[in-house]
Amino acid sequence: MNMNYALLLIAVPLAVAFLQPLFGMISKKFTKWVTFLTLAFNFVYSLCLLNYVMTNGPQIAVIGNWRPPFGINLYLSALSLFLATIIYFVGTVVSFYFIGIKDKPIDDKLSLVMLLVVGAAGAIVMTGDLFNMFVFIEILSIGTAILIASRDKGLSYKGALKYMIFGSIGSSMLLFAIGFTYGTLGTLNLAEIALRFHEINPTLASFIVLMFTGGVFVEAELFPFNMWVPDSYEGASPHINAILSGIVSTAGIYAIMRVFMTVFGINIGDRIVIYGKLNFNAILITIGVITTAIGELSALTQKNIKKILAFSSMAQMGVIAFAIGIGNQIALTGGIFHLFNHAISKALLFLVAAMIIRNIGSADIDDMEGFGRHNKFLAIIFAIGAFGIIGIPFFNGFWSKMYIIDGAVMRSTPWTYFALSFILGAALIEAFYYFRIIYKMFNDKKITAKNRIHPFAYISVALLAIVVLTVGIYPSLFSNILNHASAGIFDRVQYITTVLGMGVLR
Amino acid sequence: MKKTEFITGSFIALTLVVLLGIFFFQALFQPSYEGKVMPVDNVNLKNRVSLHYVLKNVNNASKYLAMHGMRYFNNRSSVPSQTITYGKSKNLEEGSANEVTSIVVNYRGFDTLGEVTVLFISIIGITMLIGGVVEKKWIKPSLIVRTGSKFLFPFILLFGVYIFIHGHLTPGGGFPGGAVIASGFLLLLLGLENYRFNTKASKVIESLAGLTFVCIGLIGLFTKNSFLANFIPTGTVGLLYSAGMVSLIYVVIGIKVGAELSTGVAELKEGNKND
Repeated sequence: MNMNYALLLIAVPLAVAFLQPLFGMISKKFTKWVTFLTLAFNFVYSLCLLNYVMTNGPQIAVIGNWRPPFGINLYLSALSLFLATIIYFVGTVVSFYFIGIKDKPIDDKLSLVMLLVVGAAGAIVMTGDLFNMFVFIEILSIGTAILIASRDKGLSYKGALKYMIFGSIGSSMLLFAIGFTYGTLGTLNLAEIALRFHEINPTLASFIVLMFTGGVFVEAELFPFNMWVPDSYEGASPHINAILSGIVSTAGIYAIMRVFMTVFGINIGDRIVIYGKLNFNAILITIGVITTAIGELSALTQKNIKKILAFSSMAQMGVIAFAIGIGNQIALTGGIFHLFNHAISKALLFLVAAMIIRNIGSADIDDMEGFGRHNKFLAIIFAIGAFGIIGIPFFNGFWSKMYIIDGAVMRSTPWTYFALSFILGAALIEAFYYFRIIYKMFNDKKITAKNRIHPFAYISVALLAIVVLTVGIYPSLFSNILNHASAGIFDRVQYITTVLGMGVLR
Repeated sequence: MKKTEFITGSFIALTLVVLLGIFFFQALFQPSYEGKVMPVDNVNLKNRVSLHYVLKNVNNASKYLAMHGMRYFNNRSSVPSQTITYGKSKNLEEGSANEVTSIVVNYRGFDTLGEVTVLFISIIGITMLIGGVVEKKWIKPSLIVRTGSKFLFPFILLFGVYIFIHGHLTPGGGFPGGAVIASGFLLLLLGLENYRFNTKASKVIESLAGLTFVCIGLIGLFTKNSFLANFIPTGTVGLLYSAGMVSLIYVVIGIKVGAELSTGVAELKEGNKND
């Protein structure tokens, strides 16, 4: 199997996106179907590639026949393809949901932008080149801003503007980091940087890491760069929020994992420490704790269901940052698993929230009292998603949080225990506000439905709920992939030799 | 936005900027005994990947890396290279006389595909969100502008086409060429009173040009087994018919950028009425 054909995963969405304006002249509905079919193709193809990589080990795809440190390459490992598969899966489900909602005049452009955002997120998790990652982060952030602004209300413009400001500051910081890296090492290839990053002066290395932080923390919704989250999520349509939460933040967290650990990290004992003068692992743990605490406490005070879910999404990103900061393999496995669970459950929650909002015409949780009596199916699905996020036993979030706690306990320094207590306390708060919503839904009260819901919407949420339940009941389904994925982050030598060839260590 | 929120935000931003600034200056003035590579002293411009792009010896460098391993990274300039003579050297691995073009379109062509997409999605966003806001302030042009824009338009178009066709030989290329073409259409939109830009046709051209770019990449994938691989002989350096697919891609980019920017400018003026 020629792995260079993996480029189809990026080339096909781009080609179809270029053609979407022509399809839009035929029919708006048709563009939605085209987006759905393209993403479905990507999902199936990435599953095939994942299957191949699991048996044959990580591979690279070369672009333009220029071998890696000189040209651009894709790195196809269990982690990249696993995350790409999740991204395409969530994209497929959301675009299927998107077919069902009422047509608006700008829908052809929206489905185009959606396709580009999902395609770019897939490219970020597969690329092996720093500047290439930057280009696709640009596409991702511009596309996300357009998606947020597409609701055509004052609030959504405000949210989009905030996201644009943060996104452009982040991008310019990222460009600084890339410039310094190229200026000192003379290369942009991730594997070569990983091989030679310890040659850089530690102070400068820390500076590069800090600058890089600015770029990816915006997408990953982590603390100093997440002030856009509440306004943007409130302003955007709920199904767009499913993309923001399930796809954009997944790509951001992948960039943190890959670049901070494999590229900027050095192996010390059983864990990876980020090279440089600063103890960046402790900073990441602190950032994770702050993000989680702020997110959960803010979610507690909100009445708007979109804002609650947005803050909850921020908090989960904090948990994953905490897992990355701990830096041993168990915690990292938990982090990747939690990323998967979060993408699926949060997409599910946002889609159900979209349907509820459409059905009763209000996003306030007080107006949802009695919704469970009115529409049992949706309320139960919402409860499944919420249980998955909280981590009730036999739902998917339980297993990933167990992994993270296990890893944190294995690290066993006073600071980790202190941080862990915060994470666990935050999980309690989270359980409280989710149970409050579920309790309100199943209260006995008569409500009147306003709008009908399209059957496609039911199918898409049911699909996601099935995944949540399957993973919860049978968590070892993915254990093989997850072990390979976290080992792929840890085995830096394997990353370098796969990309640059075995001879490089001579 | 509340005032307190703004003050807190600016305080956090200021703190971050000061911290980063301290960090930056510390790195600049630190002695270099801790790590080998420093930003100020000892920067060796020849120890960068771009050296091979300029000397067109990437394939040699790949072989050299496979043979010598780690030693390659400390001494990139020891990779053997051949002398390139303008107008004489034939069938090099990469045939454009303009070094920047060879990097942008060939060695790192995938990034350019991404950049084209960035422009595409930005124009889509602009026309979707703020289309048709400029028309209110339109002032009737004077006689000189009306005559001059009609007279100059073909020359501007010709100059734009010249720039992107010669992208692999002279400075410039697809993006500047496209921008020049769009400026010609902007002149018409501003200078002629009842000029209507054909947005539909322009969109069709733009879509097909974008598709052609991806298809050139896919032809490389299917014939040479690698996306965006060169599948046309590179010819003699410095001739118009040289550089293989590089010139082809730059023509496509020029057409695409020209159509795209023109559509953007026209829709800013007229609004997208066909929706």
